[in-house]
Amino acid sequence: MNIKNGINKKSEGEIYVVTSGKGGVGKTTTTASLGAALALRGKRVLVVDADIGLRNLDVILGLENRIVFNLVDVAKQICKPSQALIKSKKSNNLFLLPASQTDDKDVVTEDEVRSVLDQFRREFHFILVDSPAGIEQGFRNACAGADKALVITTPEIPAIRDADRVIGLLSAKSVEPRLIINRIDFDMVRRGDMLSVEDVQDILGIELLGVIERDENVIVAANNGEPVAYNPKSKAGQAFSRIAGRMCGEDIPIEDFSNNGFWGRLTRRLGVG
Amino acid sequence: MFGLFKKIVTNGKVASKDNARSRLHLVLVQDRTGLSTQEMSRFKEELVEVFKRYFLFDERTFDINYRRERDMTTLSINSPVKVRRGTSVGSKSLSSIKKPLLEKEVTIDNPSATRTLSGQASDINLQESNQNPKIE
Repeated sequence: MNIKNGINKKSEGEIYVVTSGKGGVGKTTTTASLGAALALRGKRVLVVDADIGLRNLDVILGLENRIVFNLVDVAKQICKPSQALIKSKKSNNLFLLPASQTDDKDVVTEDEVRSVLDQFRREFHFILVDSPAGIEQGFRNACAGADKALVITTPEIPAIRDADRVIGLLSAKSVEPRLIINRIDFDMVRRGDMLSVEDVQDILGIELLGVIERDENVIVAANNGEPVAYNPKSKAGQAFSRIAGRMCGEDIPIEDFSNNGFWGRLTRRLGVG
Repeated sequence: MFGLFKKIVTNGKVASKDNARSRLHLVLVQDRTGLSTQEMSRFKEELVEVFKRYFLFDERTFDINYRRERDMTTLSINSPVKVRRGTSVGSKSLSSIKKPLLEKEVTIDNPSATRTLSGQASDINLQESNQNPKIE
């Protein structure tokens, strides 16, 4: 495996930590799908599972049977860095550095993680680090070496509250956070039963990178071990693709879903809206 | 037209997202400031006392907001106040200010609607307006 093909060795990749505070809001799905979407755009991407002891990025990518070495092995210099990388099934541009499943989160230090990531920085355009839930050592390890952060939240009180906490911690570390709102349901927003994109953005006060609608295809994709970004017909897949575009510096406006319901569509079709 | 339709459909009930917003607002204020609910309400009561000494306003519209921008938390206070014309904040007028609120309406002398008092750690924004304050 030669991971050095096709990359300008002078350029340094950007390291993003994908985090949320609360568990179950879509960090791992986002890491896998953004990795896939960036790879589809021709970028060389490394996704890193920093959830030591509770790894899951491997199964979302369908690579669980190919793991030999892991992040801890690289950190402790048990293997060469490149030996621990697993190429994804669908793309030659997407690689996984899995977590160890048998260790504790504090088996590695922040310095060790930083040094592992720095070894890969020159080989990739993007390195996405999937953080564990929580704000303890595992979170701190995942943030070590990160230039930027993607804060994932859903439009619910516990998720937003935890995101707020995490944003505070990231700011203290001088890691620039950008927001992704996951699992929004625009029918519920229109009924007044879900916080809107504007509400969440207003409360958290950081730059919004993207919005992902609630989409059953995410679960189907996870069942099949293929990131939903590979399904161009799915709303979530399209959303991840747009977010990836924004991460590459493309000017893609945030979608306006405010008038996309039955009445919005009807009035638009009738030309009166 | 559809706004009216929407109102009929939702039956005039408070949208649950408004509950979420205000509850979230409260929790985040506690999280961001590290103050308990009791301390928060004491802080508010004391502030209201201070405000009463200088302004005529409706206590119910007094709203404190904590907003985090980057690594700084900004404290803003939003309260429509009625400016007393021709009186300076001083000894002799204090007693008159303590009168029940909203009895004497005084037209606003100054056409500029907003005055901002800036401090280093916190900003207190005093807005003169006739609108009801938004719940932020």
